[in-house]
Amino acid sequence: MALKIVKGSIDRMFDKNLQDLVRGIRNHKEDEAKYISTCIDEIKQELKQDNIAVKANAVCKLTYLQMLGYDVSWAAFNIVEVMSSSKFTYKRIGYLAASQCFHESTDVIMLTTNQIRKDLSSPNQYDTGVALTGLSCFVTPDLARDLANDIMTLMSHTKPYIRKKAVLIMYKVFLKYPESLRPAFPRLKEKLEDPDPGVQSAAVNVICELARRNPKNYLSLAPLFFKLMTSSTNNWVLIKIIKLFGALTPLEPRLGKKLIEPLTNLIHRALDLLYGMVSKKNLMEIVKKLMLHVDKAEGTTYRDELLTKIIDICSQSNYQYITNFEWYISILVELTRLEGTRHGHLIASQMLDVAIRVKAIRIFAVAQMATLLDNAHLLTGNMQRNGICEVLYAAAWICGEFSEHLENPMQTLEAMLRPKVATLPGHIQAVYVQNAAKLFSTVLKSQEGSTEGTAAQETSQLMIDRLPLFVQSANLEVQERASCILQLVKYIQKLQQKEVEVAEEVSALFAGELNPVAPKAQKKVPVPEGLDLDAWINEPPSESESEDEQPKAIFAKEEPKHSRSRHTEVDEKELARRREARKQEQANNPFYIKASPSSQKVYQESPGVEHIPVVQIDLTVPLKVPGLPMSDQYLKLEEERRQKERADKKKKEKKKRKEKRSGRGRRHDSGPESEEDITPAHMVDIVTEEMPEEYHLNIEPQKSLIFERSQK
Amino acid sequence: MIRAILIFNNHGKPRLSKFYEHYTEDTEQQIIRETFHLVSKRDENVCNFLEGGMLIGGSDYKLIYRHYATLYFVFCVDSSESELGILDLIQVFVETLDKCFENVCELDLIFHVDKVHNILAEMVMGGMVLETNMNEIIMQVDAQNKMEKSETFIFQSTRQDR
Repeated sequence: MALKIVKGSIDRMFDKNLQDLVRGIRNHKEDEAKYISTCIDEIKQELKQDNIAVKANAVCKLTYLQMLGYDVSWAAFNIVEVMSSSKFTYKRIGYLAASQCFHESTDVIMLTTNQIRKDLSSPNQYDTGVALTGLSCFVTPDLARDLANDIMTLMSHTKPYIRKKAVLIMYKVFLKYPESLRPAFPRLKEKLEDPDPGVQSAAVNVICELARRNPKNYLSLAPLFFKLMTSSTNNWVLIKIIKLFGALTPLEPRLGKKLIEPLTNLIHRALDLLYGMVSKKNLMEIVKKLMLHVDKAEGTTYRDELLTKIIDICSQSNYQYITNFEWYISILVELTRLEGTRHGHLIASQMLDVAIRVKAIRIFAVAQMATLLDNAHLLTGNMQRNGICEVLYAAAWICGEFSEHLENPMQTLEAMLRPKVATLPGHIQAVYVQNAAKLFSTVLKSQEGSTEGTAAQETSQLMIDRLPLFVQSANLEVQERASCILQLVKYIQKLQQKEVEVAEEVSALFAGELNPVAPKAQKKVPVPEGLDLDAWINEPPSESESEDEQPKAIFAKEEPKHSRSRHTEVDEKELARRREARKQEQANNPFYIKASPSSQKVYQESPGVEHIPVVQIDLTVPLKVPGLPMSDQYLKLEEERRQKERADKKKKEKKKRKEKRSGRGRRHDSGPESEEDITPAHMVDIVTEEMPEEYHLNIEPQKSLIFERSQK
Repeated sequence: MIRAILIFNNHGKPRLSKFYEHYTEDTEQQIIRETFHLVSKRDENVCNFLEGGMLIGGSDYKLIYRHYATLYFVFCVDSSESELGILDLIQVFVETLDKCFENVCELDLIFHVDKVHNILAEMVMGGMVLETNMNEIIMQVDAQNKMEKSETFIFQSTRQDR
């Protein structure tokens, strides 16, 4: 007897395990079938042994062979034996084999009922877990009926690991034995509010599946799911619930209305994710998708959100992700088509920013802006504050400042002086007038050189004819600028009549470049010697004086000024706070020019403009301003360009790969190439914001560095 | 619901096959071949979702796949599952394998398919998504591995006694 056992042990040492089997099969590529048949014979021998470890090993190998397509149902009884082992390791092997090959017509399944019941009540949670997992694959109506109660009890197990599995398997039990649903349902509903999120997800999963089959019966759960949707942060759960609502809403129209708000919040959260998602590669496509949404979201605040988002993601990190600025400008121009937007100023400021800081793009930008000015009548339908007419502000400024790039400055000048311009908001008119002057100077320069002597004088006459309309404007800023320029032009005309060349001097008025200043620039300007910024410039007035001198409020009731609030030693904190506030204000404006509140205030007070009923032109056909390219063309171009780059690269890589020997290669995502591979369409020189010179070079501090206009 | 999870290599050899619906072994092999055929001819930069083959349920089911080096991971799901969610699940699955096998590669799956099944069992049960949090999954897998280690150790010592 002992000898038999020893002999058996020695034999067992030569038993193949799973790895040996796999290796063997790989080494017998020519006679694989024959080899496997030998192995199966060995397995059959092993299954005859008393030793449960040996049986488990054999069953493990059979599971592998089943994957290769071999029928292993003849070993079903042995599988049940292995499932019954007291050792978790073997039990697991048994249940796995069962889940792979047991099905409803497997006759030994009946033998498993008691074993499964035993495992479900095991003190070891992993025994229970493994039984539940296995059962979920081969549960039959009989098993379902016999084990439903045990599983229901497990839904309230102390361990969430078990509760989760029990809840999830209930769905399979319901499928095979529908009568189990009714008694189990209350407990299932309870699980929707289980403290463990995994259990909660499982419950949501099950009920969503049930509801898909029979939406009517679960309509009453809608409020509970609504609460879950608004409180849950688990994306899987949210997706399931939203799909569920998709099935329920056709049955209950009121539900649809109630869903709008939380769904909008979700969409906002998703939009926020875009920030982090954006890269050089995908920016253009993402924006294209967003533009589609913008088109669809006609007349909603959502549209404005999208607009802000598009601009945010494009402009973030100093336009880091934009590879083709022409594309971006055309996107901005397309955005001008939006009726009823409140973000016209945002688009305008972007256009300005890009035109100023990306020198290479100026020619293109100027051409676009000129077309926009020409077709301004299409945009002036919306006169609202921050409406889309704001882009004309940008267009006029860009055409004026970079007028040297204009193809037909005369035409643009003419467009800027049309009578219709006077219907624009005041601050925009003011820019028009000022930049008309700049254009005038450019036109003069080109015309004076030519032999046509009268052209220059005609231009001056044009100015003189058109400006008076603006001189009469109710807006003070417009009035002032127009008057100044009109006088200037009249003077120029006089000189012209005397045959004096004026173009040079006129262009000197606008010489020099305005560059954006870094927000920190002011801070870096060192304070000159002997200057104490915190000292009072004038002595603060004494108490008695201030009371006497209080001006009588004539037009408006002013609050009495507190003389006590003035101390000679001002609080350090107060100073710091004021400094911060000042810095903030300046940082928001790249030109360090304070946004002129005066013109806007005037606009507010000017009677009648806001009260004029605005006729909404509902253009069902997207506004296509002639001469402006659609941004899609750029997307296509960019894709073609990248494909070509990729194709060229692949050829190079193929050559390299043939030379390399392939070994145990590292798994890697064979996705698209990395960021660095994308070469931008044109190299852009983004003008970095200016810093005060002496910050870099340490020279005298007296120079005014905010505006560098070199005077001739 | 998930109908099947398949992993096969660039030549169509199965490395893991889990069906949550019963088919005969022959049909299973046919499905694997059909799925391989559908998925392998896809270009690298096209969508990761496509309609299921006839054998697996046709247009009611979708195949969601990802290609990692020499392996295709394919999930066949019905319309109750979110495509992007499943795509994410595949990523979680692969990352979990990577953690458990330390720089996982195809050979690990070839020689230890039982371990892969054990990991998958903590993520998908009966065709329904059980757990999507990688840390939770790994925690459970590790606990069960510990149990296995402690049992085999005891076993080895008694074996020597025999």
